[in-house]
Amino acid sequence: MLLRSEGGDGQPSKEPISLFPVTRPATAQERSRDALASVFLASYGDCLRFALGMLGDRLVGEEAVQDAFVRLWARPPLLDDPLAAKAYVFRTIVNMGRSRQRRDAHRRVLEPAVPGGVDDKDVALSVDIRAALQALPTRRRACVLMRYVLDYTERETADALHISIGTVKSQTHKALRQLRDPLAGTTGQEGVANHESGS
Amino acid sequence: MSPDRDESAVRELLTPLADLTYNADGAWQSLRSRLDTADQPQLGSRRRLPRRLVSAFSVGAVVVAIVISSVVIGSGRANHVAKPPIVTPGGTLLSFATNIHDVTTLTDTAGGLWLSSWEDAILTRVDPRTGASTSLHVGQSRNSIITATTADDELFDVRFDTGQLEARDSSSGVVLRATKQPAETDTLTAQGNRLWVSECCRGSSPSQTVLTVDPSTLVATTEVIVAQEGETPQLAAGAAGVWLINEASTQLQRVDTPHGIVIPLPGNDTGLAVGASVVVLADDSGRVMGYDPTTGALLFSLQFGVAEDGGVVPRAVAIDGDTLYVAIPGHVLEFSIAKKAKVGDVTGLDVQRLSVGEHGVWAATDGSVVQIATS
Repeated sequence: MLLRSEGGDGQPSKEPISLFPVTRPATAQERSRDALASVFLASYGDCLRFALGMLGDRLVGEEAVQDAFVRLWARPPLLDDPLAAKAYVFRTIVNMGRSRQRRDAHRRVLEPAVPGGVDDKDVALSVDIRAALQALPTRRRACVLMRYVLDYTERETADALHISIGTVKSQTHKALRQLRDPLAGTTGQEGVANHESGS
Repeated sequence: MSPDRDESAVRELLTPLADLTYNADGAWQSLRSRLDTADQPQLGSRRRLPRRLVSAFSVGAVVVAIVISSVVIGSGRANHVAKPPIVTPGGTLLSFATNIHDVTTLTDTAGGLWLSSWEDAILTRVDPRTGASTSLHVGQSRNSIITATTADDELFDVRFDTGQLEARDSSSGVVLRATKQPAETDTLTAQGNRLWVSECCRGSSPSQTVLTVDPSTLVATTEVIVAQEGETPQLAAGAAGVWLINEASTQLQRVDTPHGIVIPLPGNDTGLAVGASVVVLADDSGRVMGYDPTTGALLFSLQFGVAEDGGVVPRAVAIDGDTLYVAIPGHVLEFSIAKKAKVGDVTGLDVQRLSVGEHGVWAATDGSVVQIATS
């Protein structure tokens, strides 16, 4: 590869010319975008499920996932590690959930599950279940979603959320107990409504 | 109702979420168009982590050698094994095997070290001199101790299964007094002969409340509602007051004064410690910050690299006198608060919990406890 000594306007040009037809190597940003695409396509489903569960609304969840990946795009080193990148997206969504919970605390009004009748037919979570999930403190909700929707292990959940395994265990079980009563009528399982006895 | 049945019921209810259908390619096209207008930092501008390990406390590192030698443990559970002591230039660090792998609580009491793990519902006492250990069953599996602390030479804990606040003899673990808490306890802490409990969700109210409890009677003497909902992941007391993390408001706040100080949280908390003149907060963005307890002003900030870019997340913090201990993966770093200088670094430890008490500073790791410093 040679550098052209002079351009058409008489000024030296930095445009490379090639004596042989070669493929232009990808720029760092292109490689980064490829890496982002790879992470996005591989993890979009999990991220969307998690966001929907955290935020309680599909449209909001989709936007949250997009926003989280835009933020990830601004952190190229994370893209070298797909697991770390995915964990970053999860934590970003958790923070969005926290902000949303703070706003909702002021409104104290449960948002409809599907605002304006937007198509949400493939998410058959009832309003009751969504409300019960949204009533969980943010960290408990995140643990429940990772453990029982994404099937993450306790270790994977701890690593993704930057908390200890002990915290994952205690938060998950507190969440399960908190979910018992509101979900009892939904499951139709008598046992779910029962409080622990004899302990 | 067993935890397993709870899990099955919740998993079933959330099945529609697990079976969610989506169009990843379409979403990627949408994202790609957004990226065309979004900035991406140059790859060469990556912030590197270890070089600015301590910003305000930049002092040369203390090199710590770990020398393995043998030690004999007097007695203990049958499956315990001898744990070699860790020898540093500053002296030998005692290390005892515990067989507890996910430590939920670590409390240094007058009667010994007490540990619990969520999984096995066992309270374990470790003799801080010999490593001898004894274990007590405190409920069914996965219904263990939520939180524990020490006051008035006794061990105080809250059980998940019964919801009871218990005062135990710190040597034998025998329950001396117990009372049913009116709401779900998040955590508890103590300073001298005073005890504080944070709880949420009393009755139909989702509010967070902090109770001041008389350790001798377990009766609440005062209560303060700190938020209308959420939980309190961290509660700590020291000479500089009682502080908590308010998850709902994402803030650090002092609760033992009529007009509590409120400090917005810069990240998600991973540790909280209160000293004589400073309150220290660690977060998952890789920072440890010290605040003035009377004004809330930031006194110092330690940056352990940018966690989001591959740096480290502080796992626990503790204060003993003038020394601040920060547990990060593979290290426990020691800083002098007065000198604003790093004074020590114990390497080779992946710490889950730190505890400060009359037997010194102790760290719980996967399967062992290690004395980081003597008092």
